[in-house]
Amino acid sequence: MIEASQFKKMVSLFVIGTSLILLPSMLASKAKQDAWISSIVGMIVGLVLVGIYYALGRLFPGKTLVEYSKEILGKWLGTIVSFLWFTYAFILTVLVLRNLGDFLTSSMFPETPIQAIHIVYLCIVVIGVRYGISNIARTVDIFFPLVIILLIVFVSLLLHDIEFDRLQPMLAKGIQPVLQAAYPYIGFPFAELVLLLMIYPKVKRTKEAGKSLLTGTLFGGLVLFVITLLSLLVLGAENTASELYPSFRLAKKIQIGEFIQRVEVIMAVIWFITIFVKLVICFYISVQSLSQTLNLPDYRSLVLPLGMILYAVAYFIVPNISYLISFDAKVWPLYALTIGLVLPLLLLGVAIIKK
Amino acid sequence: MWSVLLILAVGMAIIMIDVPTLRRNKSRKELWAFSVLLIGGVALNIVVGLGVEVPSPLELIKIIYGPIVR
Repeated sequence: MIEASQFKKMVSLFVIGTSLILLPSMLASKAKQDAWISSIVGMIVGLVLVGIYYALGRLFPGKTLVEYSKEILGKWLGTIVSFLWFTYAFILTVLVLRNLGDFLTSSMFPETPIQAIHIVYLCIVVIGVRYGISNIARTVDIFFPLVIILLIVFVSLLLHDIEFDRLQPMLAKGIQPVLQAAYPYIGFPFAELVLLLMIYPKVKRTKEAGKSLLTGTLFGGLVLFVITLLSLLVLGAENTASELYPSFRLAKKIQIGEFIQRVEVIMAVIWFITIFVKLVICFYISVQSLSQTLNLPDYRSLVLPLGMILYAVAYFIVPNISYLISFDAKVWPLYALTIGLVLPLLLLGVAIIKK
Repeated sequence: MWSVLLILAVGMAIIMIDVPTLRRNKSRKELWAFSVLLIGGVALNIVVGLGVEVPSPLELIKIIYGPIVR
């Protein structure tokens, strides 16, 4: 059992997760200097999605997503849909691990093989998942203030590099590029929040869980908005769009006198934490959803074998980085929205008709 | 060769960690799921370790959504 406040922190770190470092260039590549508007649009749609999940969670208090999928759709169809939740969670876990590996090998450890980074990180994650959700929640409790403090330090160190001219001209090409940029942002990370319905019933008071889900998403979205805006204000739209990891580039800009420079590690630390939280939650959800799909009494025995599969798949999931970028832009939003919008709406519709 | 031995050793270690509890709980279904996943995991790691090119699972999603994506 976890507290509503812990759930809120989990949700915000989950939203910030990998997006913190990948989002600005994703948005700026289409919307240019209007990327900050896209991030607001995406957040609003994201909150609407979360509203759907909230409604689902409230209809079935005390039950997980997989459990009520089976209850609503019957044994066979329910099992198929539950398996879809599992595959989505698992692929997400693999991609998050791979993102971390790609980031570290390309920016900080160029000589280290990616598998070495994967195995070290995966070991921590596997241990975390084996200890269970209340332990994960307590870890989040410790890490959350650290992330906030580091983010505040990071933002305040950059304040004197800001130039508001970089946001001009506003909406030069109309609203369309802004919406086009917001579309993948809705799938990543907001549609992924549907998976948190697996943790939702573990929160002590269900009524507060819904509120935590909404406020957590809002907070995460605001942090992403600030980072996107800051990237545009400091680096400019062109540079933000051409960088793969703009917030990391942003951190390299920090230079105050001769003393404070090369502090990009601050950004890396923030990212280690947020990605750890996202990875641990995603992996917990994968294991949990698989064990509930198969009607097993305990999930713990599946953690190590599934971790082994995860390690292998993370190695061959993306042949190269340009494959991932084109996949993320074209196919992933569709997949994410099928799982994160169509399926929950379907469940909600059938549940309401049945009642 | 070494990588295969290492992978098998990791698989053995996982068996030693998990199987005693599973047998004590007498949960046949759980033991089945555990074995299938572990065999899959060891096999997959060996295949990757030997340098065989495995197609990405993302290709499957690409094929499914292929007609919609331009």
